[in-house]
Amino acid sequence: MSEESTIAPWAHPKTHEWFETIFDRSGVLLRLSEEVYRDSSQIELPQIRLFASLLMLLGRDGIWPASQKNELVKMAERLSELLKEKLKEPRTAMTIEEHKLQGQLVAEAEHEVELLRRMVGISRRLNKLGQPTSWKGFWNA
Amino acid sequence: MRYSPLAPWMNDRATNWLATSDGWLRLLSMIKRTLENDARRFPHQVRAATAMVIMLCREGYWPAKMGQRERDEIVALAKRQLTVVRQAYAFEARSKPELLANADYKALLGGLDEELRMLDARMADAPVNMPDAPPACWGKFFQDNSR
Repeated sequence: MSEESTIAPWAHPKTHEWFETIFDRSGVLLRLSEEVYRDSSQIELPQIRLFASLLMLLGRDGIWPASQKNELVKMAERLSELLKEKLKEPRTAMTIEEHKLQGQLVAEAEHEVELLRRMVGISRRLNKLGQPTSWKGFWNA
Repeated sequence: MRYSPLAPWMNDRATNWLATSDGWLRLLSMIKRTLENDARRFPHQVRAATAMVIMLCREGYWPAKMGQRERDEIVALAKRQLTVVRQAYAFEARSKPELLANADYKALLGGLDEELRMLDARMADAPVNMPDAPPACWGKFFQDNSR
């Protein structure tokens, strides 16, 4: 990511070392990767959104270990593929309310995954995209 | 409820993975332990850990045995430690006034204030009237590299 602030909490070289250490010692990237690469039949839409949200929060220069950048891009691509697969699956019978809710969840998932794709630089879409609607209150609640 | 029920961190089935993932729990534990360090000796690491608290210390992302009370304690710890970091920077500026002429340094102090206000808001009982946006010094948070 090219336009990072130089005074962000993760901009100092000492914080890069700290993040590298905690990511390495916790093994969290391996665990995340294991989940994202599970068989698609074992991953549902809410999990795709959860992992996309985590990658959006943590997958930025200074936080995400530089040596694992390729893995971040691959995981973003994988989540994008998983979402496409999920959208192709036949839907079960739903009430109008359930159908409406499902539509909202799908729209949010598409927004989040597209935002992630842009953050890691693998999307060519040009329309402006801001914070997803369902993230309202993320910063001030 | 403070967040939309449609938010990605509000789905119990999905976040159950976080509550049972040893890797995720170790990561959160390391963030918390960093906050217990001397903030004067490790200001950068403490600030980074505080940023993680701002992002992650919420229902769904941050499993806690004691629930919101435990999360509030972590937020309070982060606020105390970030206050120490802010005071250290302000003290440095008093001994070297030329620092205050540096735009980045001034922006950093402003950014720390914003992060402190955000931690305060997180602990408030009622919603606080402040922008629903990350601190300005964090840059364009949901940035788009495709353009």
